[in-house]
Amino acid sequence: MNEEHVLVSQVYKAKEDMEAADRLIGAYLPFIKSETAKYLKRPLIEENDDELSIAMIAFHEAIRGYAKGRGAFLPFASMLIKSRLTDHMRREKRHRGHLSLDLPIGEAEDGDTLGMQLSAGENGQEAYASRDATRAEIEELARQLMDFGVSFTDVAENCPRQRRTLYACQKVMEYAKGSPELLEEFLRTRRLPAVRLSKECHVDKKTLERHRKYLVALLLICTNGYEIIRGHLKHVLRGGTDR
Amino acid sequence: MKYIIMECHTSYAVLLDEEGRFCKAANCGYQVGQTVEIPVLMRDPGMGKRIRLRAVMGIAAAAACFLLAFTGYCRGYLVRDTFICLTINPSVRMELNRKGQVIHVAGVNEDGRKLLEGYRQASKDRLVVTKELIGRAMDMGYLSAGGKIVLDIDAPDEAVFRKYGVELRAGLEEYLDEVLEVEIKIFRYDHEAEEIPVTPKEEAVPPPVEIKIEGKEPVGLPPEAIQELPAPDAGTEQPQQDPVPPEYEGSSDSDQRERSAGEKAATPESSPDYNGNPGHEERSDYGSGFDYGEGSDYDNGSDYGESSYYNGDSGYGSHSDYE
Repeated sequence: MNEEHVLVSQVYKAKEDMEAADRLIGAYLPFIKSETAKYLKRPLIEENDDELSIAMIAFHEAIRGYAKGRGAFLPFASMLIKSRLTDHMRREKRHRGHLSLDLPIGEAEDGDTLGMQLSAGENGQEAYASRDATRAEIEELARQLMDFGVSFTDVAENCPRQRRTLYACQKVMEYAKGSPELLEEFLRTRRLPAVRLSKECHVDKKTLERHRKYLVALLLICTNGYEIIRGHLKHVLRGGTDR
Repeated sequence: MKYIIMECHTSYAVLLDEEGRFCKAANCGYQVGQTVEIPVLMRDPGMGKRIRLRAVMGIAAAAACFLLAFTGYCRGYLVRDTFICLTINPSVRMELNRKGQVIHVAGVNEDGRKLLEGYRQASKDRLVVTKELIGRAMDMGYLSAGGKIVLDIDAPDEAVFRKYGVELRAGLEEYLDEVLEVEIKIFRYDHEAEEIPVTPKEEAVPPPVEIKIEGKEPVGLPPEAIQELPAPDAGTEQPQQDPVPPEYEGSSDSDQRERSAGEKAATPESSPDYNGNPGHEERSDYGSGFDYGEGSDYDNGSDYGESSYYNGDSGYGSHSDYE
Protein backbone atom coordinates (compact mmCIF):
# COMPACT_ATOMS: atom_id res chain seq x y z
CA MET A 1 0.00 0.00 0.00
CA ASN A 2 2.83 2.31 0.96
CA GLU A 3 4.66 1.43 -2.24
CA GLU A 4 1.60 2.40 -4.24
CA HIS A 5 1.55 5.80 -2.53
CA VAL A 6 5.22 6.31 -3.30
CA LEU A 7 4.64 5.37 -6.92
CA VAL A 8 1.67 7.74 -7.21
CA SER A 9 3.73 10.61 -5.78
CA GLN A 10 6.53 9.76 -8.25
CA VAL A 11 4.03 9.75 -11.09
CA TYR A 12 2.64 13.15 -10.05
CA LYS A 13 6.18 14.52 -9.90
CA ALA A 14 6.94 13.05 -13.32
CA LYS A 15 3.89 14.78 -14.77
CA GLU A 16 5.60 18.14 -14.30
CA ASP A 17 9.21 17.14 -14.94
CA MET A 18 10.22 15.23 -18.06
CA GLU A 19 13.54 14.24 -16.54
CA ALA A 20 11.73 12.65 -13.61
CA ALA A 21 9.44 10.90 -16.08
CA ASP A 22 12.46 9.53 -17.89
CA ARG A 23 13.93 8.31 -14.61
CA LEU A 24 10.65 6.63 -13.62
CA ILE A 25 10.51 4.89 -16.98
CA GLY A 26 14.08 3.71 -16.48
CA ALA A 27 13.11 2.34 -13.07
CA TYR A 28 10.04 0.54 -14.43
CA LEU A 29 11.67 -0.70 -17.63
CA PRO A 30 11.41 -4.37 -16.52
CA PHE A 31 7.66 -3.92 -16.04
CA ILE A 32 7.37 -2.32 -19.50
CA LYS A 33 9.39 -5.12 -21.09
CA SER A 34 7.31 -7.73 -19.32
CA GLU A 35 4.04 -6.18 -20.52
CA THR A 36 5.37 -5.93 -24.08
CA ALA A 37 6.59 -9.53 -24.05
CA LYS A 38 3.22 -10.68 -22.67
CA TYR A 39 1.48 -8.87 -25.49
CA LEU A 40 3.81 -10.15 -28.21
CA LYS A 41 3.88 -13.64 -26.64
CA ARG A 42 7.62 -13.86 -27.27
CA PRO A 43 10.80 -12.60 -25.61
CA LEU A 44 11.95 -9.13 -26.68
CA ILE A 45 14.92 -8.46 -28.93
CA GLU A 46 15.70 -5.07 -27.47
CA GLU A 47 17.72 -3.56 -30.30
CA ASN A 48 15.26 -4.37 -33.05
CA ASP A 49 11.89 -4.19 -31.40
CA ASP A 50 10.02 -0.98 -32.06
CA GLU A 51 7.35 -2.40 -29.79
CA LEU A 52 9.47 -1.67 -26.72
CA SER A 53 9.82 1.98 -27.76
CA ILE A 54 6.06 2.14 -28.29
CA ALA A 55 5.46 0.55 -24.89
CA MET A 56 7.77 3.15 -23.33
CA ILE A 57 5.94 6.04 -24.97
CA ALA A 58 2.68 4.46 -23.80
CA PHE A 59 4.07 4.36 -20.25
CA HIS A 60 4.96 8.02 -20.69
CA GLU A 61 1.39 8.76 -21.77
CA ALA A 62 0.17 6.81 -18.74
CA ILE A 63 2.23 9.09 -16.48
CA ARG A 64 0.78 12.20 -18.11
CA GLY A 65 -2.77 10.94 -18.19
CA TYR A 66 -2.93 9.30 -14.76
CA ALA A 67 -5.23 10.60 -12.02
CA LYS A 68 -5.80 9.11 -8.57
CA GLY A 69 -9.44 8.43 -9.39
CA ARG A 70 -8.40 5.99 -12.12
CA GLY A 71 -7.27 3.30 -9.68
CA ALA A 72 -3.78 1.89 -9.26
CA PHE A 73 -1.14 3.25 -11.62
CA LEU A 74 0.43 0.03 -12.87
CA PRO A 75 -2.81 -1.61 -14.14
CA PHE A 76 -3.63 1.70 -15.82
CA ALA A 77 -0.20 1.81 -17.47
CA SER A 78 -0.53 -1.84 -18.49
CA MET A 79 -3.88 -1.15 -20.15
CA LEU A 80 -2.44 1.83 -22.03
CA ILE A 81 0.59 -0.17 -23.20
CA LYS A 82 -1.64 -2.93 -24.53
CA SER A 83 -3.96 -0.55 -26.38
CA ARG A 84 -1.03 1.34 -27.89
CA LEU A 85 0.61 -1.85 -29.05
CA THR A 86 -2.71 -2.99 -30.56
CA ASP A 87 -2.91 0.30 -32.51
CA HIS A 88 0.66 -0.18 -33.69
CA MET A 89 -0.04 -3.75 -34.82
CA ARG A 90 -3.09 -2.66 -36.76
CA ARG A 91 -1.06 0.02 -38.52
CA GLU A 92 1.70 -2.41 -39.30
CA LYS A 93 -0.82 -4.87 -40.72
CA ARG A 94 -1.52 -2.45 -43.55
CA HIS A 95 2.11 -2.59 -44.64
CA ARG A 96 2.37 -6.36 -44.39
CA GLY A 97 3.69 -7.89 -47.57
CA HIS A 98 5.88 -4.84 -48.28
CA LEU A 99 9.65 -5.21 -48.30
CA SER A 100 11.53 -3.91 -45.28
CA LEU A 101 14.63 -1.75 -45.76
CA ASP A 102 16.21 -3.66 -42.89
CA LEU A 103 16.03 -7.01 -44.67
CA PRO A 104 19.46 -8.44 -45.54
CA ILE A 105 20.08 -8.68 -49.27
CA GLY A 106 22.18 -11.81 -49.18
CA GLU A 107 21.91 -14.96 -47.15
CA ALA A 108 24.56 -13.85 -44.69
CA GLU A 109 23.04 -12.13 -41.68
CA ASP A 110 25.84 -9.55 -41.42
CA GLY A 111 25.53 -8.57 -45.05
CA ASP A 112 24.23 -5.26 -46.48
CA THR A 113 20.59 -4.41 -46.08
CA LEU A 114 18.27 -3.07 -48.78
CA GLY A 115 18.28 0.35 -47.11
CA MET A 116 22.03 0.49 -47.11
CA GLN A 117 22.13 -0.43 -50.77
CA LEU A 118 19.60 2.26 -51.66
CA SER A 119 21.39 4.92 -49.64
CA ALA A 120 24.65 3.86 -51.24
CA GLY A 121 23.03 4.54 -54.59
CA GLU A 122 22.20 8.07 -53.39
CA ASN A 123 25.76 8.69 -52.29
CA GLY A 124 25.98 7.48 -48.69
CA GLN A 125 28.89 9.75 -47.88
CA GLU A 126 26.81 12.82 -48.62
CA ALA A 127 23.95 11.52 -46.48
CA TYR A 128 26.27 10.93 -43.54
CA ALA A 129 27.81 14.36 -44.00
CA SER A 130 24.42 15.94 -44.17
CA ARG A 131 23.32 14.16 -40.96
CA ASP A 132 26.47 15.30 -39.18
CA ALA A 133 25.92 18.87 -40.30
CA THR A 134 22.32 18.71 -39.15
CA ARG A 135 23.36 17.28 -35.80
CA ALA A 136 25.93 20.07 -35.39
CA GLU A 137 23.25 22.68 -36.11
CA ILE A 138 20.85 21.05 -33.66
CA GLU A 139 23.48 20.86 -30.94
CA GLU A 140 24.33 24.53 -31.49
CA LEU A 141 20.65 25.41 -31.32
CA ALA A 142 20.26 23.37 -28.11
CA ARG A 143 23.17 25.29 -26.58
CA GLN A 144 21.69 28.63 -27.57
CA LEU A 145 18.35 27.54 -26.18
CA MET A 146 19.98 26.61 -22.89
CA ASP A 147 21.20 30.22 -22.68
CA PHE A 148 17.55 31.16 -22.68
CA GLY A 149 16.85 28.46 -20.08
CA VAL A 150 14.88 26.38 -22.55
CA SER A 151 15.29 22.76 -23.72
CA PHE A 152 13.79 21.03 -26.76
CA THR A 153 11.49 19.14 -24.42
CA ASP A 154 10.26 22.48 -23.04
CA VAL A 155 9.74 23.70 -26.59
CA ALA A 156 7.77 20.57 -27.45
CA GLU A 157 5.66 21.06 -24.32
CA ASN A 158 5.09 24.70 -25.22
CA CYS A 159 4.31 24.08 -28.90
CA PRO A 160 0.84 25.25 -29.96
CA ARG A 161 -1.75 22.48 -30.36
CA GLN A 162 -4.30 24.47 -32.30
CA ARG A 163 -3.64 25.13 -35.94
CA ARG A 164 -4.77 28.75 -35.64
CA THR A 165 -2.20 29.45 -32.94
CA LEU A 166 0.45 27.64 -34.93
CA TYR A 167 -0.24 29.89 -37.91
CA ALA A 168 0.00 32.96 -35.68
CA CYS A 169 3.44 31.82 -34.49
CA GLN A 170 4.49 31.10 -38.07
CA LYS A 171 3.46 34.62 -38.99
CA VAL A 172 5.76 35.94 -36.27
CA MET A 173 8.59 33.77 -37.60
CA GLU A 174 8.09 35.12 -41.11
CA TYR A 175 8.17 38.67 -39.85
CA ALA A 176 11.29 38.04 -37.72
CA LYS A 177 13.09 36.56 -40.71
CA GLY A 178 12.63 39.83 -42.60
CA SER A 179 13.70 42.03 -39.63
CA PRO A 180 17.42 41.47 -38.84
CA GLU A 181 17.48 44.34 -36.34
CA LEU A 182 14.70 42.68 -34.34
CA LEU A 183 16.67 39.42 -34.22
CA GLU A 184 19.80 41.29 -33.17
CA GLU A 185 17.93 42.96 -30.37
CA PHE A 186 16.43 39.61 -29.38
CA LEU A 187 19.87 37.98 -29.17
CA ARG A 188 21.34 40.95 -27.32
CA THR A 189 18.63 41.38 -24.72
CA ARG A 190 17.54 37.68 -24.66
CA ARG A 191 14.00 38.89 -24.34
CA LEU A 192 11.15 38.21 -26.68
CA PRO A 193 9.93 41.54 -28.15
CA ALA A 194 6.30 40.50 -27.63
CA VAL A 195 4.83 44.01 -27.83
CA ARG A 196 6.46 44.82 -31.14
CA LEU A 197 5.72 41.42 -32.62
CA SER A 198 2.11 41.64 -31.49
CA LYS A 199 1.76 45.09 -33.06
CA GLU A 200 3.52 44.27 -36.32
CA CYS A 201 2.06 40.80 -36.85
CA HIS A 202 -1.44 41.57 -35.52
CA VAL A 203 -1.22 38.65 -33.12
CA ASP A 204 -2.59 38.80 -29.59
CA LYS A 205 0.18 39.54 -27.08
CA LYS A 206 -1.20 36.89 -24.73
CA THR A 207 -0.83 34.27 -27.44
CA LEU A 208 2.82 35.21 -27.87
CA GLU A 209 3.49 35.15 -24.15
CA ARG A 210 1.75 31.79 -23.75
CA HIS A 211 4.06 30.26 -26.34
CA ARG A 212 7.17 32.16 -25.41
CA LYS A 213 9.53 29.15 -25.32
CA TYR A 214 8.35 27.94 -28.70
CA LEU A 215 8.76 31.41 -30.20
CA VAL A 216 12.25 31.68 -28.74
CA ALA A 217 13.19 28.48 -30.59
CA LEU A 218 11.64 29.76 -33.84
CA LEU A 219 13.38 33.14 -33.61
CA LEU A 220 16.71 31.45 -32.90
CA ILE A 221 16.23 29.28 -35.98
CA CYS A 222 15.72 32.52 -37.95
CA THR A 223 19.15 33.85 -36.89
CA ASN A 224 22.31 33.02 -38.79
CA GLY A 225 23.75 29.53 -38.79
CA TYR A 226 20.73 27.25 -39.06
CA GLU A 227 20.48 26.79 -42.81
CA ILE A 228 19.58 23.09 -42.69
CA ILE A 229 16.80 23.56 -40.14
CA ARG A 230 15.46 26.55 -42.06
CA GLY A 231 15.60 24.40 -45.21
CA HIS A 232 13.46 21.82 -43.38
CA LEU A 233 10.98 24.60 -42.54
CA LYS A 234 11.01 26.07 -46.05
CA HIS A 235 7.25 25.62 -46.44
CA VAL A 236 6.63 27.70 -43.36
CA LEU A 237 9.12 30.42 -44.22
CA ARG A 238 7.72 30.75 -47.73
CA GLY A 239 4.25 31.02 -46.32
CA GLY A 240 3.46 27.78 -48.11
CA THR A 241 1.07 26.35 -45.54
CA ASP A 242 -2.62 27.00 -46.12
CA ARG A 243 -4.02 29.42 -43.64
CA MET B 1 5.69 14.60 -43.64
CA LYS B 2 9.36 14.52 -42.67
CA TYR B 3 10.59 14.97 -39.12
CA ILE B 4 14.08 15.86 -37.87
CA ILE B 5 15.13 14.23 -34.59
CA MET B 6 16.10 17.14 -32.33
CA GLU B 7 16.65 15.42 -29.00
CA CYS B 8 16.74 11.81 -27.80
CA HIS B 9 15.80 10.45 -24.38
CA THR B 10 15.39 6.91 -23.08
CA SER B 11 11.65 6.87 -23.47
CA TYR B 12 11.01 9.49 -26.11
CA ALA B 13 12.52 11.74 -28.76
CA VAL B 14 11.76 15.36 -29.69
CA LEU B 15 11.03 15.85 -33.38
CA LEU B 16 10.61 18.92 -35.57
CA ASP B 17 8.12 18.59 -38.43
CA GLU B 18 8.02 20.62 -41.65
CA GLU B 19 5.33 22.93 -40.30
CA GLY B 20 7.57 24.01 -37.42
CA ARG B 21 5.83 21.87 -34.82
CA PHE B 22 7.98 20.32 -32.10
CA CYS B 23 6.54 17.01 -30.96
CA LYS B 24 7.44 14.02 -28.86
CA ALA B 25 7.52 10.51 -30.25
CA ALA B 26 8.65 7.00 -29.35
CA ASN B 27 12.41 6.76 -29.60
CA CYS B 28 12.80 3.81 -31.93
CA GLY B 29 16.59 3.90 -31.80
CA TYR B 30 16.76 7.36 -33.36
CA GLN B 31 19.82 9.61 -33.47
CA VAL B 32 19.92 13.41 -33.37
CA GLY B 33 19.89 14.87 -36.88
CA GLN B 34 18.20 11.83 -38.40
CA THR B 35 15.19 12.37 -40.64
CA VAL B 36 12.18 10.08 -40.18
CA GLU B 37 8.84 9.91 -41.93
CA ILE B 38 6.44 7.81 -39.86
CA PRO B 39 7.21 8.28 -36.17
CA VAL B 40 4.98 7.00 -33.37
CA LEU B 41 3.92 10.34 -31.94
CA MET B 42 3.03 10.77 -28.29
CA ARG B 43 -0.63 11.46 -27.75
CA ASP B 44 -1.73 14.46 -25.79
CA PRO B 45 -3.52 13.05 -22.71
CA GLY B 46 -6.02 15.90 -22.63
CA MET B 47 -6.86 15.56 -26.32
CA GLY B 48 -9.18 12.58 -25.96
CA LYS B 49 -10.96 14.28 -23.09
CA ARG B 50 -11.34 17.48 -25.12
CA ILE B 51 -12.66 15.57 -28.12
CA ARG B 52 -15.10 13.68 -25.87
CA LEU B 53 -16.17 16.91 -24.20
CA ARG B 54 -16.67 18.55 -27.58
CA ALA B 55 -18.63 15.56 -28.83
CA VAL B 56 -20.80 15.56 -25.70
CA MET B 57 -21.35 19.29 -26.00
CA GLY B 58 -22.21 18.94 -29.66
CA ILE B 59 -24.67 16.16 -28.96
CA ALA B 60 -26.17 18.13 -26.07
CA ALA B 61 -26.55 21.21 -28.29
CA ALA B 62 -28.14 19.14 -31.05
CA ALA B 63 -30.50 17.52 -28.54
CA ALA B 64 -31.45 20.93 -27.14
CA CYS B 65 -32.14 22.25 -30.65
CA PHE B 66 -34.19 19.17 -31.45
CA LEU B 67 -36.12 19.55 -28.21
CA LEU B 68 -36.81 23.21 -28.93
CA ALA B 69 -37.91 22.44 -32.47
CA PHE B 70 -40.07 19.55 -31.27
CA THR B 71 -41.65 21.71 -28.55
CA GLY B 72 -42.41 24.34 -31.16
CA TYR B 73 -43.87 21.68 -33.43
CA CYS B 74 -45.96 20.29 -30.58
CA ARG B 75 -47.24 23.72 -29.68
CA GLY B 76 -48.09 24.48 -33.27
CA TYR B 77 -49.43 21.17 -34.46
CA LEU B 78 -50.30 18.80 -31.64
CA VAL B 79 -51.72 20.96 -28.86
CA ARG B 80 -55.47 21.54 -29.06
CA ASP B 81 -56.10 25.22 -29.32
CA THR B 82 -59.63 25.69 -30.61
CA PHE B 83 -62.79 23.59 -30.55
CA ILE B 84 -65.64 23.81 -33.02
CA CYS B 85 -68.96 22.14 -32.21
CA LEU B 86 -71.06 21.44 -35.26
CA THR B 87 -74.69 20.85 -34.31
CA ILE B 88 -77.27 19.88 -36.90
CA ASN B 89 -78.61 17.87 -34.65
CA PRO B 90 -75.95 15.23 -34.91
CA SER B 91 -73.46 17.03 -32.76
CA VAL B 92 -69.81 16.72 -33.60
CA ARG B 93 -66.78 18.29 -31.95
CA MET B 94 -63.70 19.22 -34.00
CA GLU B 95 -60.42 19.91 -32.25
CA LEU B 96 -58.11 22.35 -34.00
CA ASN B 97 -54.43 23.04 -33.39
CA ARG B 98 -52.78 26.44 -33.40
CA LYS B 99 -52.44 26.37 -37.15
CA GLY B 100 -56.19 25.88 -37.47
CA GLN B 101 -55.87 22.29 -38.67
CA VAL B 102 -58.39 19.70 -37.53
CA ILE B 103 -56.50 17.17 -35.41
CA HIS B 104 -59.43 15.21 -34.02
CA VAL B 105 -63.16 14.81 -34.67
CA ALA B 106 -65.51 13.18 -32.16
CA GLY B 107 -69.25 12.71 -31.90
CA VAL B 108 -70.82 14.50 -28.96
CA ASN B 109 -74.17 12.72 -29.00
CA GLU B 110 -75.40 9.41 -30.37
CA ASP B 111 -76.28 10.88 -33.77
CA GLY B 112 -72.91 12.57 -33.91
CA ARG B 113 -71.21 9.24 -33.33
CA LYS B 114 -73.36 7.65 -36.01
CA LEU B 115 -72.47 10.49 -38.39
CA LEU B 116 -68.78 9.78 -37.86
CA GLU B 117 -69.09 6.03 -38.33
CA GLY B 118 -66.88 5.09 -41.26
CA TYR B 119 -65.80 8.67 -41.77
CA ARG B 120 -62.19 9.06 -42.81
CA GLN B 121 -60.89 12.57 -42.52
CA ALA B 122 -59.35 13.37 -45.90
CA SER B 123 -58.03 16.80 -45.08
CA LYS B 124 -56.96 18.79 -42.05
CA ASP B 125 -58.63 21.93 -43.32
CA ARG B 126 -61.43 23.01 -40.98
CA LEU B 127 -63.72 24.19 -43.77
CA VAL B 128 -63.25 21.01 -45.80
CA VAL B 129 -63.97 18.83 -42.74
CA THR B 130 -67.05 20.89 -41.87
CA LYS B 131 -68.33 20.62 -45.46
CA GLU B 132 -67.70 16.87 -45.46
CA LEU B 133 -69.61 16.43 -42.21
CA ILE B 134 -72.51 18.53 -43.44
CA GLY B 135 -72.51 16.53 -46.68
CA ARG B 136 -72.66 13.30 -44.68
CA ALA B 137 -75.46 14.72 -42.55
CA MET B 138 -77.43 15.52 -45.72
CA ASP B 139 -76.78 12.05 -47.12
CA MET B 140 -77.87 10.40 -43.87
CA GLY B 141 -81.01 12.51 -43.73
CA TYR B 142 -80.11 14.57 -40.69
CA LEU B 143 -80.17 17.84 -42.61
CA SER B 144 -82.87 18.92 -45.01
CA ALA B 145 -84.21 22.18 -46.38
CA GLY B 146 -85.18 24.58 -43.65
CA GLY B 147 -82.84 22.94 -41.19
CA LYS B 148 -80.37 24.73 -39.02
CA ILE B 149 -76.63 24.43 -38.61
CA VAL B 150 -75.13 25.78 -35.42
CA LEU B 151 -71.40 26.21 -35.05
CA ASP B 152 -70.04 26.89 -31.59
CA ILE B 153 -66.47 28.08 -31.71
CA ASP B 154 -64.45 27.88 -28.53
CA ALA B 155 -61.50 30.04 -29.52
CA PRO B 156 -58.72 31.35 -27.24
CA ASP B 157 -59.31 34.91 -28.35
CA GLU B 158 -61.66 37.17 -30.20
CA ALA B 159 -59.53 37.49 -33.33
CA VAL B 160 -59.39 33.72 -33.87
CA PHE B 161 -63.13 33.41 -33.28
CA ARG B 162 -63.82 36.15 -35.83
CA LYS B 163 -61.43 34.68 -38.37
CA TYR B 164 -62.78 31.14 -38.16
CA GLY B 165 -66.39 32.30 -37.88
CA VAL B 166 -66.28 34.55 -40.93
CA GLU B 167 -64.43 31.96 -42.94
CA LEU B 168 -66.80 29.12 -42.00
CA ARG B 169 -69.91 31.20 -42.64
CA ALA B 170 -68.69 32.35 -46.04
CA GLY B 171 -67.53 28.86 -46.99
CA LEU B 172 -70.72 27.13 -45.88
CA GLU B 173 -72.98 29.71 -47.47
CA GLU B 174 -71.18 29.24 -50.73
CA TYR B 175 -71.29 25.44 -50.34
CA LEU B 176 -74.98 25.26 -49.43
CA ASP B 177 -76.12 28.07 -51.72
CA GLU B 178 -77.24 25.82 -54.56
CA VAL B 179 -77.86 22.64 -52.58
CA LEU B 180 -80.01 23.43 -49.61
CA GLU B 181 -81.57 26.39 -47.90
CA VAL B 182 -80.57 26.16 -44.28
CA GLU B 183 -79.94 28.57 -41.47
CA ILE B 184 -76.36 28.89 -40.30
CA LYS B 185 -75.66 30.22 -36.84
CA ILE B 186 -72.22 30.72 -35.42
CA PHE B 187 -71.61 31.44 -31.76
CA ARG B 188 -68.69 31.84 -29.51
CA TYR B 189 -68.95 28.92 -27.12
CA ASP B 190 -69.33 29.60 -23.41
CA HIS B 191 -68.92 33.30 -23.92
CA GLU B 192 -71.10 36.35 -23.80
CA ALA B 193 -73.60 36.43 -26.62
CA GLU B 194 -71.76 36.96 -29.82
CA GLU B 195 -72.66 35.88 -33.26
CA ILE B 196 -70.87 36.09 -36.55
CA PRO B 197 -73.17 38.15 -38.74
CA VAL B 198 -74.48 36.83 -42.00
CA THR B 199 -72.26 37.79 -44.91
CA PRO B 200 -73.84 40.95 -46.33
CA LYS B 201 -74.86 40.23 -49.88
CA GLU B 202 -77.30 43.07 -50.45
CA GLU B 203 -78.83 45.84 -48.40
CA ALA B 204 -79.91 44.14 -45.25
CA VAL B 205 -83.62 44.51 -44.59
CA PRO B 206 -84.52 44.30 -40.92
CA PRO B 207 -86.51 41.16 -40.28
CA PRO B 208 -90.16 41.60 -39.41
CA VAL B 209 -90.99 41.37 -35.76
CA GLU B 210 -93.24 38.46 -35.06
CA ILE B 211 -96.08 38.88 -32.69
CA LYS B 212 -97.33 35.58 -31.55
CA ILE B 213 -100.89 35.37 -30.49
CA GLU B 214 -102.10 32.14 -29.09
CA GLY B 215 -104.44 30.34 -31.40
CA LYS B 216 -103.50 32.49 -34.41
CA GLU B 217 -100.74 32.53 -36.93
CA PRO B 218 -97.88 34.89 -36.03
CA VAL B 219 -98.35 38.30 -37.53
CA GLY B 220 -95.28 39.77 -39.19
CA LEU B 221 -94.91 43.51 -39.03
CA PRO B 222 -91.95 45.48 -40.30
CA PRO B 223 -90.23 47.46 -37.51
CA GLU B 224 -91.10 50.81 -39.13
CA ALA B 225 -94.72 49.87 -39.07
CA ILE B 226 -94.47 48.96 -35.44
CA GLN B 227 -92.70 52.19 -34.61
CA GLU B 228 -95.40 54.07 -36.39
CA LEU B 229 -98.05 52.51 -34.26
CA PRO B 230 -99.69 55.18 -32.09
CA ALA B 231 -99.21 55.01 -28.38
CA PRO B 232 -102.24 53.46 -26.68
CA ASP B 233 -102.91 56.53 -24.59
CA ALA B 234 -101.02 59.62 -25.65
CA GLY B 235 -102.08 61.52 -22.55
CA THR B 236 -101.09 58.92 -19.99
CA GLU B 237 -97.49 58.39 -19.04
CA GLN B 238 -95.93 55.00 -19.57
CA PRO B 239 -95.71 53.21 -16.27
CA GLN B 240 -92.39 51.96 -14.92
CA GLN B 241 -91.86 48.57 -16.44
CA ASP B 242 -91.40 45.81 -14.00
CA PRO B 243 -89.90 42.65 -15.58
CA VAL B 244 -91.88 40.36 -13.35
CA PRO B 245 -95.20 41.47 -11.92
CA PRO B 246 -95.27 41.29 -8.15
CA GLU B 247 -97.96 38.66 -8.22
CA TYR B 248 -95.69 36.36 -10.31
CA GLU B 249 -92.80 36.50 -7.89
CA GLY B 250 -92.14 33.18 -6.30
CA SER B 251 -94.24 31.29 -8.82
CA SER B 252 -92.83 28.54 -11.00
CA ASP B 253 -91.88 28.95 -14.65
CA SER B 254 -94.75 26.89 -15.90
CA ASP B 255 -97.18 28.95 -13.88
CA GLN B 256 -95.78 32.13 -15.31
CA ARG B 257 -95.99 30.72 -18.81
CA GLU B 258 -99.64 29.79 -18.40
CA ARG B 259 -100.60 33.06 -16.83
CA SER B 260 -98.82 35.22 -19.36
CA ALA B 261 -100.27 33.15 -22.17
CA GLY B 262 -103.67 33.89 -20.79
CA GLU B 263 -102.96 37.57 -20.48
CA LYS B 264 -101.57 37.65 -23.99
CA ALA B 265 -104.66 36.14 -25.33
CA ALA B 266 -106.64 38.78 -23.52
CA THR B 267 -104.50 41.67 -24.80
CA PRO B 268 -103.82 41.25 -28.50
CA GLU B 269 -102.86 44.93 -28.89
CA SER B 270 -100.06 44.75 -26.43
CA SER B 271 -97.50 45.32 -29.19
CA PRO B 272 -96.53 48.92 -28.22
CA ASP B 273 -94.51 47.47 -25.38
CA TYR B 274 -92.27 45.75 -27.91
CA ASN B 275 -91.47 48.97 -29.69
CA GLY B 276 -88.39 49.58 -27.71
CA ASN B 277 -87.20 45.97 -28.09
CA PRO B 278 -87.27 44.96 -31.69
CA GLY B 279 -85.78 41.56 -32.53
CA HIS B 280 -86.66 39.36 -29.57
CA GLU B 281 -85.60 36.36 -31.50
CA GLU B 282 -82.04 37.59 -32.02
CA ARG B 283 -81.66 38.44 -28.37
CA SER B 284 -82.86 35.05 -27.34
CA ASP B 285 -80.30 33.50 -29.67
CA TYR B 286 -77.47 35.36 -28.06
CA GLY B 287 -78.23 34.02 -24.66
CA SER B 288 -77.81 30.45 -23.62
CA GLY B 289 -81.46 29.88 -24.44
CA PHE B 290 -81.11 28.92 -28.09
CA ASP B 291 -82.55 25.62 -29.07
CA TYR B 292 -80.14 22.96 -30.31
CA GLY B 293 -83.01 20.63 -30.97
CA GLU B 294 -84.57 18.01 -28.83
CA GLY B 295 -82.26 15.68 -27.08
CA SER B 296 -79.22 17.75 -27.95
CA ASP B 297 -76.47 17.89 -25.38
CA TYR B 298 -76.68 21.61 -25.51
CA ASP B 299 -80.38 21.64 -24.84
CA ASN B 300 -80.80 23.20 -21.47
CA GLY B 301 -84.54 22.89 -21.53
CA SER B 302 -85.31 26.33 -22.77
CA ASP B 303 -87.32 26.93 -25.87
CA TYR B 304 -86.13 30.11 -27.40
CA GLY B 305 -89.23 30.63 -29.47
CA GLU B 306 -91.39 30.94 -26.45
CA SER B 307 -88.88 32.00 -23.92
CA SER B 308 -88.56 35.32 -25.68
CA TYR B 309 -91.90 36.22 -24.22
CA TYR B 310 -90.54 35.65 -20.77
CA ASN B 311 -87.51 37.70 -21.36
CA GLY B 312 -86.97 40.17 -18.55
CA ASP B 313 -87.22 43.09 -20.95
CA SER B 314 -90.40 42.05 -22.58
CA GLY B 315 -92.42 44.51 -20.52
CA TYR B 316 -95.03 42.05 -19.56
CA GLY B 317 -95.67 43.89 -16.36
CA SER B 318 -97.23 46.75 -18.27
CA HIS B 319 -99.88 44.61 -19.87
CA SER B 320 -102.23 45.07 -17.02
CA ASP B 321 -102.18 48.81 -17.68
CA TYR B 322 -103.69 48.31 -21.09
CA GLU B 323 -106.43 45.98 -20.08
